[in-house]
Amino acid sequence: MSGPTGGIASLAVAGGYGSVGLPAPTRTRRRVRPTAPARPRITLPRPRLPHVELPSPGALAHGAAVFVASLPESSLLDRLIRGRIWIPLLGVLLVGIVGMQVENLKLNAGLGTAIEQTTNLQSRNDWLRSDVAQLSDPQRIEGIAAQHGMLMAPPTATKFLAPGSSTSVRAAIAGIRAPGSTYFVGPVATSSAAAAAASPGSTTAPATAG
Amino acid sequence: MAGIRARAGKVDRRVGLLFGIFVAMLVIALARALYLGTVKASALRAAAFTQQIDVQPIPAQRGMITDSAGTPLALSQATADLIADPYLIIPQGDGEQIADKIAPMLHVPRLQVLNDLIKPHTGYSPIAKQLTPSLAGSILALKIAGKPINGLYTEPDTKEVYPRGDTLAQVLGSQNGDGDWSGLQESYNSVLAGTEGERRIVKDAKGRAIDVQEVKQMQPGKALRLTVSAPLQNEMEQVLAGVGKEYQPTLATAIALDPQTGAILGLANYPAVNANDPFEGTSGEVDNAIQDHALSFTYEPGSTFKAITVAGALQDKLITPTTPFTIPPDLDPYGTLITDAEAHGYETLTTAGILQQSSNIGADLIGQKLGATRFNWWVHRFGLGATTGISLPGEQPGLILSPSQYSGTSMYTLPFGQGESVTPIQMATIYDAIANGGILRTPHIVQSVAGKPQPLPAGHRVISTTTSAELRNMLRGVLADGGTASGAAIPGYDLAGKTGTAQVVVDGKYSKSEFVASFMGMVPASDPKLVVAIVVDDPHGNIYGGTVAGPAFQKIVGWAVPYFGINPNPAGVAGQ
Repeated sequence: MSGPTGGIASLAVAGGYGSVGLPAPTRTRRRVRPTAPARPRITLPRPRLPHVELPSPGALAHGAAVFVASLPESSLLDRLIRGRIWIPLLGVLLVGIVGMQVENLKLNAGLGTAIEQTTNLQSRNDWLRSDVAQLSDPQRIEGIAAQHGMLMAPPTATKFLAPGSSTSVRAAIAGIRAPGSTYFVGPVATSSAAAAAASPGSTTAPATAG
Repeated sequence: MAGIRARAGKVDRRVGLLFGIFVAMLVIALARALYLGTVKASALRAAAFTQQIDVQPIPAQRGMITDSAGTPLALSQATADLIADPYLIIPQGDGEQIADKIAPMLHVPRLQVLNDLIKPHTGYSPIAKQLTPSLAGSILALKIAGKPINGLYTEPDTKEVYPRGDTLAQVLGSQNGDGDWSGLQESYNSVLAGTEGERRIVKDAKGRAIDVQEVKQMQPGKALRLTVSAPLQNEMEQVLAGVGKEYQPTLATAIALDPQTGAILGLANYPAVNANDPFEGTSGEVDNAIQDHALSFTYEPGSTFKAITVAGALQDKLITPTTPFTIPPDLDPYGTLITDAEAHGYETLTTAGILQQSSNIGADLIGQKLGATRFNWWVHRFGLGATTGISLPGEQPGLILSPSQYSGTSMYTLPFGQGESVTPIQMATIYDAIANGGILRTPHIVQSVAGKPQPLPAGHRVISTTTSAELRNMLRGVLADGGTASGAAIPGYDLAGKTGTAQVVVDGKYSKSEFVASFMGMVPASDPKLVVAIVVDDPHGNIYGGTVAGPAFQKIVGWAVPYFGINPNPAGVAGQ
């Protein structure tokens, strides 16, 4: 940065534009600051390096610094800042901010509703789970079964069959009957009779038979 | 010129006046803003906070308790408390109309609701607690003269629900009026309770939530999975209900254990109690019904204790299963007559015969072989006189005399189970050890907490596998012909067990009418997979363990063996 400060500085120091009758420079807003005397440049012999396509990080930083330093003098930036495009741009941005706030409120409201809905659904789920547990109570099912004429066989009325030949397995399988769709719907007496009739292959047997 | 100046002056004055008015209004507005922002600031902030911001507690959902198959036995349900703000209701003057509408929905007297709605000098008046969310929603949706009710709101709450009512009720425990828990709910409260959260809701003018923030996250309680099988539990409770109906005992309890692990598969109590409403009934009934008798009932075990006497003598190699004993008709130490349940003359019984016929005199003779010191050592070796360590509250240690406290007759009564107090769970644990080859384990009921399996209690060996096998073989005889529980046998099942009919001390003397009937058994005797203990206190109509408790054992085992797929006679023992 301490490099060539340019001839303009030396002209200004020399007494101003008017006095020497020079035409006014086109960029009158440019301020000229006194600069430090140029330091003697010591040129060191550069080591010979292999050719590299990319600039070194140091060079990049230097370039960026130069660019930033030249920004205040950039005419493009000047036009951008003074341009009228900012009016609609700011307008759009303001509308956007308001819109975002509205959307945010909507989202929050939606979130509130969703949380409420989640709580309600969880609550309902718990109640349903409780209902399932109640409905699957064996005591309840046994009660309903008893209404249809079905009873749990007493322990002494059941017996374990010793595994015999394949014939007995085939006979047992042959004795299995799938209950019909109206099996449990009919009157108690019918169901009892049906139960007795449909269980020739059952492993339960009356006490006297065991 | 003068006219123009005058007119200009007039305009200036008007402009000045207008300016002055605007300045004055600005000053007034500033003063008002200053007043509202400083003097009234806190009150307005509080009012705004109340009206716009709702800070709701999020009640912690209590951890669910399930059986071994995941069937819910206790679960937390979301409910709502209905609250009234009389400060809002009283000025509106519609308290009576509100009471007319909501009293029938709540099934409470109209006057009671009205009193709560117009309670003076309060802005918080609870109307009803733990309503179902749908009912609470219906009440809030009510309209008076076409307008929503202003001054009623709900607060979230939870309620512990027991879907199966009386299933495992005494073990699960419940909450009393003071908010204290009992049973498992008490011993695992820190795990089940969870942590309450907090939600901040900003509402708009119409009460709609426009911002919801979880200020504090609610942490639900952890789930407990028990070792209990709900279907077996149900069967055991039905069997005990049958015993209760037939013998009207004061209380009864049944315990089913897996001898391989010490896991409690079922624990039933009589009388039953509905866990959803455990305090219904008279105080005496309630006190009895809510007790977990398996842990809290101390009784003299009677003949079921003989297995301990025999086990100690067998392990000390003082006797064998076939050692013969000459049994006299009675013993008369220090004037105390000791007899067997059935009168007999002099007879010879083997150790197995003593157990099969439950000879008190025979047990005394074995006890004398052991001696007081060794007998006492074995009693403590089997864990009596101390709690088992089960993770349930209210367990009693029982009462065991030390040898220094023995009287002259102690060694004539203690060997057959009179003179010491035990609990049903202690006896079940001892028979569990006999069943599993001699390892005494702390029974456990919690399988996993939040899905994390609980470590199995290690246990310690009390008798050798040989002794336990010999003992089980002898206990088979109890259910065989001539045994005291032959009626409890199931054809084809290899069963072993011991009956107990213990006298009860009333006013310092053994009662002749009050007994404790019990049965401790296992299946299959060759390699037990299930141990069942039944204790019935003060049965009426029959007193014997073999006839009161034995059939209950038979029913439970007869149901459980096919249900669990247990081979009832893997060794193919003949005569069963």
